[in-house]
Amino acid sequence: MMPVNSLVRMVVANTLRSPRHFILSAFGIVIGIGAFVLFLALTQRAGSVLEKVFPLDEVQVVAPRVSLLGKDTSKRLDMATVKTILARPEVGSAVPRMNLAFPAAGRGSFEGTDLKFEVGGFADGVDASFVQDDEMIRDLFKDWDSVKDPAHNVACVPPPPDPDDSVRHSPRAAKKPTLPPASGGGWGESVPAAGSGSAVGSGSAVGSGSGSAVGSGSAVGSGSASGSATVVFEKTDTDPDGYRNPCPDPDRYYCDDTERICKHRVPVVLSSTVVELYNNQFAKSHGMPMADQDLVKFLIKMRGLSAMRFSIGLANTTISGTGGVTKKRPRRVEAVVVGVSSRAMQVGVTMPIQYIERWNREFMGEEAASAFSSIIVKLKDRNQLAPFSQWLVDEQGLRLEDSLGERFATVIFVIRLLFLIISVAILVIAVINIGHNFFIQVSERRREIGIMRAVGATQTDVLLIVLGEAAVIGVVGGVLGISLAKGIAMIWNAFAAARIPRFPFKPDSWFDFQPWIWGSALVFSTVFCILGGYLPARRAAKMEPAQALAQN
Amino acid sequence: MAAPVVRLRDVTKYYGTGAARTQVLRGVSLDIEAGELVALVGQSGSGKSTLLNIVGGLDQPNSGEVEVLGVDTIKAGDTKRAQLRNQSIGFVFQAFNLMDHLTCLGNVTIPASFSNVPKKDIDERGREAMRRVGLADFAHRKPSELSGGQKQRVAIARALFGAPTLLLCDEPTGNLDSETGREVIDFFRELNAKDGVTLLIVTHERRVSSVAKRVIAMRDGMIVETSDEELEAAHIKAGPA
Repeated sequence: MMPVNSLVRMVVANTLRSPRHFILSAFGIVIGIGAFVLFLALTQRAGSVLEKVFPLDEVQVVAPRVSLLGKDTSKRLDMATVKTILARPEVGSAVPRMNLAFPAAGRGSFEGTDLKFEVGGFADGVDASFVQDDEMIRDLFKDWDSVKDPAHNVACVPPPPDPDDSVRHSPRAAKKPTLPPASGGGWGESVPAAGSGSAVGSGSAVGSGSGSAVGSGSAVGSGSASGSATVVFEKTDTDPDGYRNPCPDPDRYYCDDTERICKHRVPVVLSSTVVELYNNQFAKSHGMPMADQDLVKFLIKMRGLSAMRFSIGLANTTISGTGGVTKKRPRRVEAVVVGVSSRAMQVGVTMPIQYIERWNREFMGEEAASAFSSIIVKLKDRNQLAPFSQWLVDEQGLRLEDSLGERFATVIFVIRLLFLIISVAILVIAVINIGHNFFIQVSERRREIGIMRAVGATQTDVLLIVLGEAAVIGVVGGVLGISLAKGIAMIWNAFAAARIPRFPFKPDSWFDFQPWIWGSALVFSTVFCILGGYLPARRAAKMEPAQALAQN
Repeated sequence: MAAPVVRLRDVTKYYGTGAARTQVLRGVSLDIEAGELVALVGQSGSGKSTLLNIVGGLDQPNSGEVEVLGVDTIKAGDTKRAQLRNQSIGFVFQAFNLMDHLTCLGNVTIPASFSNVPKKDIDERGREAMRRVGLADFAHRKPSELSGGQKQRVAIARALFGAPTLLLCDEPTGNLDSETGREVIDFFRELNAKDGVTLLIVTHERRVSSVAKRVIAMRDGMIVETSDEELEAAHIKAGPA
């Protein structure tokens, strides 16, 4: 075989010598590789957006719905089921979820708008340790009712019931919240409630409170239920309701109607889907301000939670004509959004499971407090999914929930496959074109090949020279194709940013050019070109030199 | 006595198949000793060029034995034959067969691309070959700028690049005027006399065969007795013109 440097020199010289041939041959490859890279990068991005929407590394175990004569006879998911699943070797973790088993209605204000919404059916609980997205969530997402906190759990007078609605409007903070400076320490202190501070400390607050509460006599009458230092609300000119949250740290604590003590608001997290739904559907149709996820997180942090709180009327509902599953009297609790979490239920609010357990027990009985709606299982190895699923069905009578994520992943997979087939089809045509061009070239360069053979080129040398030229087209065509794809991607991203309206999970860049994508594109391009050049190269090599040199 | 440089035994060659089959060589046997200057004469289609190509390994016979410089070129395989052409055999063609995109020096040094000549020696050896054919100043000219005679001299320089022991020439003066042709022939004779290069020259010009130490005539794919009549018939009568 000829020396490698001679080979390289000759291949480069030959390529530069016939630019027309080169461009004709490379054109198809550039288009094909461009499409290949663009499609892969697009579907790659689609896949990662999908994973944001539906975490795919976890599966949900549910009991198949079985009903007999209208009675639900589905298998129950309980602590024993969780333990059985955890005993499987392929299972990394198993965390139960519990749905709120009875109706509940929410009411809160957002940017001055009074919102009412359904909570029953859109609320569930998980173990607090399962939701750990950020620092704020780690601090606040827990069962506050089990925390002994005498400093905050003081007796208080709750707000009077709303005559129009049994779910009372979430009480506002003592004054209109203003953005505190970023360096202002803890959020509790940074929005001081003018009235509440004095109310806790001095007995005189009681007097003034009761005096002002003339309008709602019941509140005054039961105000001393929990004994010693009872805090009551104050009437202010700025608040038409005439109620001020009397609790210390009013951003986090509220006065509970039933127990008449200050309690920490129920911490809830939202999924990013909810935020996107709000932005894209709700905000637009209701003329409300937009807020992307980062802004929501920022607001939660900066505004001391006061803007993100709402009331929940347990056993209440906004859907008329329903209800009646529980005979209990409705009661009101308050909740606060503490963050956006990938672990939150897709559409609804997620809170520590202890709240759901207690409420289910209170309103529906012990049965409802121990039945889980699903068990979130994380496998040590995703490839073990199939055997695990089989085991669930065969031995436990359970199944994996049809995950929307899995279905979308399948769709994306099919689209990706389709795109790949199109790219490969373009490449195959390009390769045929290259083969054709090289046949012409080889025939045009017959004499040249004959001369090289006469002065000592072996068949292998001739083969390598022609294949080398094909490989150069492959490498250069590949690089140009990748550049073309990147260029189109840049143009599209700029266009999309300027012209395409927001939609859920709209990405900043629509393409994800992973190194493996352009790496494989380059390899493909080169290999395909060499394939295309092979037959012409072989013909050139096999030609007898005498025949190649013969006069035409 | 040393082994002959070229040894052919019952070499046959045909082209095509079936009805279109043309028998070009019909059992040629031939020995050429080292230092010989042999003219191969005969009419067009007599098979002389095919014989030359088979000797040079540019073509393969259908049967027979071919031994060149001690190498059985039929059995040796492509790589060995290529090496032989690269290092021991030089070719000169009627049509010059230069590469127009290369300079004269580039053409002369092409054989170096297929061997391991040290890079620094390549130019030096190329220039030496060009100097020998009297074209020292033409190194960087393109063949298209040269006259026919100059082109053929570049081709000869290329053939000499590998310092061959056997030079195979196919109608080397066929495209040249008589004056230039004579110069080329003189050069061959000098090469044969001074350097001991063995030459096999295919020609149908008698001024070429006149300088040959031995003339081999061919007819219908066979070597024939080289009688004067034969040479007359081929318009190549030996002797002074």
